[in-house]
Amino acid sequence: MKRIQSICLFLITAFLVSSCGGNEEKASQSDLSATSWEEIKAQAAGTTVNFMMWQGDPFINRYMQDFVVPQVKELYNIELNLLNGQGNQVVSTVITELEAGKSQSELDMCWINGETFYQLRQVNGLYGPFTDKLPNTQYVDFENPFIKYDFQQEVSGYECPWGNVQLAIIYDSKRVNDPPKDLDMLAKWVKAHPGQFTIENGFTGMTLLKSWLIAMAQAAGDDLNGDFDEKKYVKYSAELWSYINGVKSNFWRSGNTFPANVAQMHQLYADGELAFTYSNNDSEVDNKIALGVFPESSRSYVYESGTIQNSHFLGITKKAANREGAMTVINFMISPEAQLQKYDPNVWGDGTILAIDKLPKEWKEKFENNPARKYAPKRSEIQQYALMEPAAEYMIRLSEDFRKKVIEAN
Amino acid sequence: MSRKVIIGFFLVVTVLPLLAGLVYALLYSLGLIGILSEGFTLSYWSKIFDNQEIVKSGVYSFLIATVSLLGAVVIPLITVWFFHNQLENKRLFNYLRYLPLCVPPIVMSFFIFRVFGGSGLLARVAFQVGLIESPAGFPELINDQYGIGIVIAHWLLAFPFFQLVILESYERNQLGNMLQVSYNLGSSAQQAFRRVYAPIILRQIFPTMVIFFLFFMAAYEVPLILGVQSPRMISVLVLDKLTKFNLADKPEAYALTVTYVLVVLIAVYFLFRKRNLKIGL
Repeated sequence: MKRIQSICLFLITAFLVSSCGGNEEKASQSDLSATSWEEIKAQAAGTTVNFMMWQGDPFINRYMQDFVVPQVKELYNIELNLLNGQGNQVVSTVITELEAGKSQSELDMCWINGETFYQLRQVNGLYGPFTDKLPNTQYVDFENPFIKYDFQQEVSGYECPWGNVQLAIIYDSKRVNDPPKDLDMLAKWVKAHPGQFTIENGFTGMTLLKSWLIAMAQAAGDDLNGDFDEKKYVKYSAELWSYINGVKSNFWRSGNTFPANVAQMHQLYADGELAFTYSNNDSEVDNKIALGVFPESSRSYVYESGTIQNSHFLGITKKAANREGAMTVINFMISPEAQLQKYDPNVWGDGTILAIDKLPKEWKEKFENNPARKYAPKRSEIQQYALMEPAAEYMIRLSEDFRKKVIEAN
Repeated sequence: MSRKVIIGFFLVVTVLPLLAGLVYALLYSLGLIGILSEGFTLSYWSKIFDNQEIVKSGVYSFLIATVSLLGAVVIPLITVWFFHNQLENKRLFNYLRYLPLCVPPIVMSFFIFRVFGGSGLLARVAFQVGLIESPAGFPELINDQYGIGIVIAHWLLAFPFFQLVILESYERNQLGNMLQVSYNLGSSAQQAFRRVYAPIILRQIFPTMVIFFLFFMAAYEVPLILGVQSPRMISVLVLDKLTKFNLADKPEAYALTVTYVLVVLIAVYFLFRKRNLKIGL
């Protein structure tokens, strides 16, 4: 008995020690509010920056590995270390570190957007405001609503825009002659061609649902701007679920199940099971054809009822050990040079966040005369159908209710 | 003294991290820790107990694990019964049968996905032969409501291992001789299988069966790739709650983890206690 007692005591003590250890926190981060850009750059030289980013796309990886990493080494003598992790891993890493009371984060900077930004701000995990320090933000139009707000939350300098994309529907032009332009046409198409359309249950699928939800609100002369509105959500989501439940028996697998993520959806499309897939990046169709993954007859477009356009951002963690390095790298990543490279569909095909009309003349021309994207629609053409991201709660609710009211309502 | 040291070391290395994790999960689920915690609350616990989906997920995981285990044990039990002479001491076979043990579940899942999917290998053959006209015409063997794909993956993963264990048990217990004796005493083949062969082997491999049952029950990659969005197996559900969109779901996920661990611990305790009494170990 005594032994058990002492073991318990030991375990409890060990636990308490391990959980309390972090509370004595040291402020090892430098305060940069009064530091000049030249000084920041000088302090960044010779340091290492840890950057956590999603590495699920060979194009993006190649752009980072072969362009950004060598460039920041050459220009600023910074060792940029890429760590793999999607948005939710960034959040859980930061949360775990905050909960453990670590004084320095493993991450200096991270690639975030939308709900990740919302969550990181919720737990006060980001450093900022810092964007006004970066010289290259002079070319960014911070009044552009697609850059000023991230999921209806004002960015306020806590993250720096890096790229801008719009949800686009990808289809096989050999199988779909006249792609449906709105929800009514889609319903008709799906009924005439059962088994070839579905909604994936991940981030991209939720973006599609958000686009539809806004379309339904707009059809009623309403919008979803501003904070989350329970009444509006209940009203329009009811409409949305009844629409989906009305057509889902003609979805893939008769709507009994749905792909878990966009990768599975792409796979089903590439294998010819589905006639449609979609991507948060309007130029992805070009990348995937170039990779030989999608059939050459693939094209992409957006609904006339609109699709979500959003920016993705770069953030610096609150406890970043190397703020100077992270800021220097971010400033490079939004430079016209780095943005142009990224804009090329053969490199990545990511839309730029620079305001073209603010750029010096020679850069302006380079962006405007960029070889046109082959199969993706022109950005200037789809801009008119761009919808703003609604508040982050809409996505959380849509994700929960899509499960309750569609997936489980069989 | 040295024995105490060794036991202490064992506890520190194995039990301590587990227990610390469990205590952490428990505190998190009660709202006592966590970045968004607002103090003690039982709301997360009450939420998981009146959630139909979670109950369904638990039952589903249990059924999948049961069917997976049954197949993984019964198939080799029968093959060893019929073919033990052929299976013994065959070098090539001895080597080959280890092969599936080296395959990680995630690789096995992709293999099943590529072979049994609507546009997989079998479907392509069926299409060429003219049996089906489109991918939708192929029977749903993966991402299906009944978890057929999951069960096939589990069978392929575990069957070679049980084959090995059962064959070993057959040899170690000299079952060949024992069965001969029972035949001499006048038993039929069916009786010998039911009364001698199966009980001796099953009793011996019982701990292995329990371990595999738990392994199946907690499977993650296999149901993630081959399962459906509803019902989800328990690990998929927990991880969805832990990592998807809503931060407020985190404590619920931890409450579920604690419940799962407790249920498993209690079940294992009773299973082994009963067994020990019976065999008198």
